[in-house]
Amino acid sequence: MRQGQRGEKRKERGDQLLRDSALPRGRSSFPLSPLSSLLSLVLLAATLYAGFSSIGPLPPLGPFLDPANGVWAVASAAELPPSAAGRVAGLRGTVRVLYDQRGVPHIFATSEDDVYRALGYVVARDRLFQLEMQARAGAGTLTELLGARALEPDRETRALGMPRAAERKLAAMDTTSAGYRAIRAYADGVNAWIAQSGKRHLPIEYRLLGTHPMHWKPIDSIHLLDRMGFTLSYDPEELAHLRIQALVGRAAADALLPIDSPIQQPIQPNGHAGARDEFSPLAPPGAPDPGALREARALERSTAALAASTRPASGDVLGSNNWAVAPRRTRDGYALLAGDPHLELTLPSIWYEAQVVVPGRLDVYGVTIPGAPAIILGFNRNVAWSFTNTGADVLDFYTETVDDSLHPSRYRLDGTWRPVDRRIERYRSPSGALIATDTVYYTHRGPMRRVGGRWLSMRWTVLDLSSEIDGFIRAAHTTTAQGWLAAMDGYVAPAQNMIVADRAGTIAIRSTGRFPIRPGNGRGDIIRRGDTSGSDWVGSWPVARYPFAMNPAQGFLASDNQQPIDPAVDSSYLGAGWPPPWRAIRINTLLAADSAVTPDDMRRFQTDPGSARADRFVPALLAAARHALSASPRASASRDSVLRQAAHLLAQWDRRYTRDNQRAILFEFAMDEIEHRTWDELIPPHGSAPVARPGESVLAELLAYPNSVWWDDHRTSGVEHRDDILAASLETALRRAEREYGAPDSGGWRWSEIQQANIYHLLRIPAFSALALPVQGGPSTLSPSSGEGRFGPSWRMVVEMAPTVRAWTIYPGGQSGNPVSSRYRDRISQWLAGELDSALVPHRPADLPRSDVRSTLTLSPAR
Amino acid sequence: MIARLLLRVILLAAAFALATAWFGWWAVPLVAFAWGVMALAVTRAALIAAVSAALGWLALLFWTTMQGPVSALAHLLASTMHVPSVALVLVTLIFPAVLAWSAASLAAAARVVVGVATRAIDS
Repeated sequence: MRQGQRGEKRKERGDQLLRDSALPRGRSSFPLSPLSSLLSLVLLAATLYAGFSSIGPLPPLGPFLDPANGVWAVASAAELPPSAAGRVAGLRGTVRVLYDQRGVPHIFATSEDDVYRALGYVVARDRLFQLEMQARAGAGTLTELLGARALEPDRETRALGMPRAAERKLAAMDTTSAGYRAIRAYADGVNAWIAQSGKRHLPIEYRLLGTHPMHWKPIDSIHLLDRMGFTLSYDPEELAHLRIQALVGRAAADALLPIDSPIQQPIQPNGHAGARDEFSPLAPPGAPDPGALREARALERSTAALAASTRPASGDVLGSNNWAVAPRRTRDGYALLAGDPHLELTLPSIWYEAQVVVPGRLDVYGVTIPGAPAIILGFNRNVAWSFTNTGADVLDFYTETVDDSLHPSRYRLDGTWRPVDRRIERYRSPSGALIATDTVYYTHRGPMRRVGGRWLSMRWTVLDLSSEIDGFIRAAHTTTAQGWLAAMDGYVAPAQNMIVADRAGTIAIRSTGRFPIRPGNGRGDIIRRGDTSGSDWVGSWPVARYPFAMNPAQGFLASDNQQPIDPAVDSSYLGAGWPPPWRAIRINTLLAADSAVTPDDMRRFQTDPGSARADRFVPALLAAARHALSASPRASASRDSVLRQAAHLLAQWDRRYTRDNQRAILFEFAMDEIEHRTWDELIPPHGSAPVARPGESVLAELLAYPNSVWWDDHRTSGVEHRDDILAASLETALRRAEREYGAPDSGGWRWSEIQQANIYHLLRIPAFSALALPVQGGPSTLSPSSGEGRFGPSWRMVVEMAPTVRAWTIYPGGQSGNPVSSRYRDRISQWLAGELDSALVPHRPADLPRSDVRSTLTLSPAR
Repeated sequence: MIARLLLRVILLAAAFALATAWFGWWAVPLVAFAWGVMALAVTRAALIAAVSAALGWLALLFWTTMQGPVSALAHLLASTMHVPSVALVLVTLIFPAVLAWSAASLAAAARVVVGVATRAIDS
């Protein structure tokens, strides 16, 4: 009976449905015709597909457009809430974090492990995507984030042996060491943020890429530091040497890439009041060496993609400044220290500013690199420090003899065959699919690769076992300059010129890192035979031999990437092809001229627009023009007129690269032209640009020899001497400047219109970048800007070691990695103006006035 | 009549918004499908679903605007994708509307098919 009733009801419902299906469209919009149903099915399927899957460059639209958890939520996560709380596994006590108005977190914890857990948490909170991208760059796993487009840089990172080295370093770490505990604690903090932040806080880059954050592992901190090692110390001297040797022979290559800088203004004072010229005639061009050319090209090809992604483009500057002034030369009688590393300018910045405090044990302020559980550059209550890159030669190549030219399993050493270590490298997509597989071969020296039909192995200090983090953590606890340097004794790579000043008034500087000792003539700018262990490094410099100075008579110390020791003092090989010491000369001049330096003077010096390079070359150009105009006969009156005008305009220049300067461009074009005409021997057949350019200090050296054969431009029928080249270059520079930028006083020559800083987002998305920023400074000024403007002062700091330490800081960017945050690029305008912010350095939370607190965060142990 | 329609739209928009916030975007077709099954006799039920879904997401977008700089974000995203800012907002509203319309329509069709099948089995 019941069954019969239910059947009737079903029948009635079916009849109703059929009646509904027949309703005219005016009553119902339900598309119940088969065609309409099919249409809705197809539409639903297509929309779902677009929702779940990436189509072309677009991310899956569903999670992307979702207004609650998708890309729009990036806006709601832009600003720090007035207060927040979080839980971190392993935390032993409550950690208080106060963000000041500049977005700087001041972390107060009860143990050092907790402070690094909290540091990981707050860095991940502001810079999660950057954390992952930088660590993956060092691990060679960028494809897992960016897809196949990152395959070539990943391949090179792995071919250089970096991931293997990081694994070995981690395995060799003492698990009770402060460094090991710090990287573990830091990982806890990063992962706690990832676990708690939820979809709403997912950085925009992940949303655009359609990926998710990786789990952070302790080894990722090592990958990050190794990546810094690559950026700062992977500079094969051999490559430039080979390129030049290929065209003009070995002797000329040695002369053009000298082991010692012809202009000496060393880091370790040499007793000279100013720069010391150590000039000698350059060996003339010799016969080409085709073998060297082949080798250079092969070596170049093998590192092209990675180099392109990390090295400055032509004309850009990778360098740094630091200096310190003893109390007797400062107005207020306290030691002063300044530092500004010149690295790639990115958004978000490579630096993240923070203070970490464990009352009674640790109190350090400065900048960390996202991923590094330490303050890298900064100060504590007693000591301040900063680094510049030493640029020492810490990398060598060896020609290996192998048993199989394609897939070697053994290599020859001292008459016997030794097994080659092989490591399979697998590259995966963001979805985990295998993209490619490589085999990387290793000898006892390091990774080995096939280059131009030969196998070259590499020894590089960045791959050596080391724990830089331990050094940073030890140094943060020190109270004297001597103690600080001793804490860094074990530091290996990348070698840095570490300057330090303490509250007692001591200033000191030391080039610190592993400097290899080579056999024979000790040179590292040549490729050595690999079939004998006699080619191997025989040790490294003892710390006592490192370039070093403390409390010098001159009352100040400075480093600007120049050759650290005058070879007249110590001629041991430390590197070759040193950058010209223009910045060093300039800062030494400024510091020597000021016996009552103030913190504000230090700030002004950091953006000083003067140029020692211009001081060296402008008089030579003007003298050459005078000489050319007085000599007769000249080719034409019109050329005389152009040269006269060019000389007149150049003489008007104050040799400063201020933003409104309208003459600097004439000098820059003249310098370009001089190099192009002088180094014509280095332009390969059928080429248009030199294969490598000797440093400008070599060009300055050449000025002393007006009849050197190098001045002659072989592309002309005549024989040119120095003044011919300089005058012709000045003349051409004026024509070019007028052609490209109009008449001299039309406004087009204004420096700010020509040279600008370009701060790109990590993924080079223009809308997330800050581009075409007018800056003060040019090539070789203390605040350098050249080439594409992608490199420059990435952080500026001035510290006064008064009884109560005071500091002023800035970097071009902001604390947040969120492009719509008010903290994303809030510091750029001040950075452009050369201004610094006063750093707040509270001893305890109560020291920070409420008006200075933007936000608070309380971290508690996870339950 | 209009009041009832408005009430339906508001309730359905709220359902879409809450489901999206709690479960994610994929809850939109599920809610729409359920609506389609339940609202067979409702005039223009699929259209109501579409409008409600768009309104639900608009409400969420408005709520997000209260939390942070959505217009600045729209501008950045639009620059990145080389489209006008308004196009991004429109796509954000059209996407759930299409999902809801097609899911609701399909639900109705499925219910008819089920009904016919049931009738055929019973007869």
